[in-house]
Amino acid sequence: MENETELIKGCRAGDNSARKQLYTLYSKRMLAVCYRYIGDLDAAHDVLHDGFIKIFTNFSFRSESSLGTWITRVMVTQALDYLRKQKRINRIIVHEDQIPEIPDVSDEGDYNRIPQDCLMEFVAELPIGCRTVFNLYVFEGKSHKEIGDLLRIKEHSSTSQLHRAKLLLTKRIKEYMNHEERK
Amino acid sequence: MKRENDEINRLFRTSLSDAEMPVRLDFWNELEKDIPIAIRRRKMIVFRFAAAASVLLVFAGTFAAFMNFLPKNEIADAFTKAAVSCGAEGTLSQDAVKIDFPPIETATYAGSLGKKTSGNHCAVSSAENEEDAVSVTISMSFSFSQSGYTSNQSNRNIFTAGQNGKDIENEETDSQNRLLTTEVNKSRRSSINGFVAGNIPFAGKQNQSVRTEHKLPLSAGVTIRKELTRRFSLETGLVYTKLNTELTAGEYDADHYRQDQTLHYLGIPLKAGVSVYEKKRVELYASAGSMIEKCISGHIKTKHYEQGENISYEKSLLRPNPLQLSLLLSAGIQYALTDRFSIYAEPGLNYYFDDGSPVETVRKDKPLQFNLLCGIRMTY
Repeated sequence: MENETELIKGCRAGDNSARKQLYTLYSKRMLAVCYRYIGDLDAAHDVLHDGFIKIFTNFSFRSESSLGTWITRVMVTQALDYLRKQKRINRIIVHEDQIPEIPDVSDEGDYNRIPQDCLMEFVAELPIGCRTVFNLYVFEGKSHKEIGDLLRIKEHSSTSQLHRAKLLLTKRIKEYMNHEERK
Repeated sequence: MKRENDEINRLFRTSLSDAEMPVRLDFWNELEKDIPIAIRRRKMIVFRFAAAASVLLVFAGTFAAFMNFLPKNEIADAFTKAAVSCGAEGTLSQDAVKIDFPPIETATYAGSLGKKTSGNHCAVSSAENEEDAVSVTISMSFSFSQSGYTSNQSNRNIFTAGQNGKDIENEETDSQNRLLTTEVNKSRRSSINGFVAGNIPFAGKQNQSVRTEHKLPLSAGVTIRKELTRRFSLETGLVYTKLNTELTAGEYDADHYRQDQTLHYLGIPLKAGVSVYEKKRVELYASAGSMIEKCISGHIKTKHYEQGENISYEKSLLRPNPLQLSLLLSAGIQYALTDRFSIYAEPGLNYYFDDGSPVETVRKDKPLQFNLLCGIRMTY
């Protein structure tokens, strides 16, 4: 896109209006990304702030991917750094024999109708370990091996964390659907 | 079951991939203000690193140039000379030398020269107990190369050989040593330091006759520093030092001996540090401590030359037994480049106690040494 090229050029040159334009285009989406990882709105704003500072002080975009993908990657990296400082993600251990099978949700009704902000909250409520793995697996498309390398956990742990996340999310969906039905 | 599991993934992916959330109203204003501050900070960090690297390069270059162009002999001549008459006679037998000398009070290490030389000294007529002029050259370098200097005096002979009535000049030169240190110091609480060092000796007592060339002592070590309180810290570790000395007796175009002595020491330092002044990026501090060293190995190579031609060569092991104790005192200045990285300089004094062994080293000749330490500190 021609506009995007101009935008990139402007940001590289340190043009403030280009920066503001970039911010306007991406800030809401990136806040959602940060919130999905962090689970707290204030902290998500902090991560968003630091992410944009990083982008604007060193605009290292090289057109290897789309601009949106690159910005998302910067934000995800910033979010992971934040999480690492807050808690040791790799300390969370799940004993596999304690995780039951994930129940079937298909007979709960049209769960596709669940509002977006509710689904976002379900993710935000997840414990830090399985939330991080879930985000990296589902939204960043990372493999368990890649997640293991990134978070310095075993591949096996990544698998069980994802399983746990799905279990908890399914449970939340069921609760929500039951609650809605009663209404 | 797998399909349902994938359903969950699909549900969240499709719903939340492009989700948006409202940003706080004043967010852009705050961000806009912080951008130039962040850019300036980044430039300062780069600038400080570049400045530090340039300073170090300038010092290294200056030192290298100085060493390269230094007229060592002329400088040697400019210092105090004392003629020492050494009445000695020597007879050469097949593979050993028997040398008779007038007796002398100072101790001597007997080299392995045919195992026949022992207690051979030159009588010092006028130069005894004469102190050398202090000459100190300060330079800082991160070079790992060894550069020689002549500190011509030897009050204890490793061996002697000479002719009748020969005057051997007793010379003093300045020594261009410098202390090289790179120190990696991690953490306000504890730190790991690695360094390389060399010392500048001060005046030592001169006695006599043989030309001694003490090469630059080189040290390398790893130490750990622990901050006990905000101002007080303790440091210890392991230090390796190599001492190299060359001795020559006689004239180059006539009979002469050359000995090349190398000693390897391993030592444990113990230093206490006190922070004296701290403001913004600058810190001044003082340290004092001691070190115990043990010679772990060494050797001495002896070559005998007659009429300029090498006629014999011997190499033997040498390892002085006693422990070497030294004291050290230094002042330090540290400048923080970033939160993690600092550069610092520590000028100081080392005093080496006589270890009681008869082996000749730069520490015996010149027990008081000045050193200048430069380093980079990394904190976490």
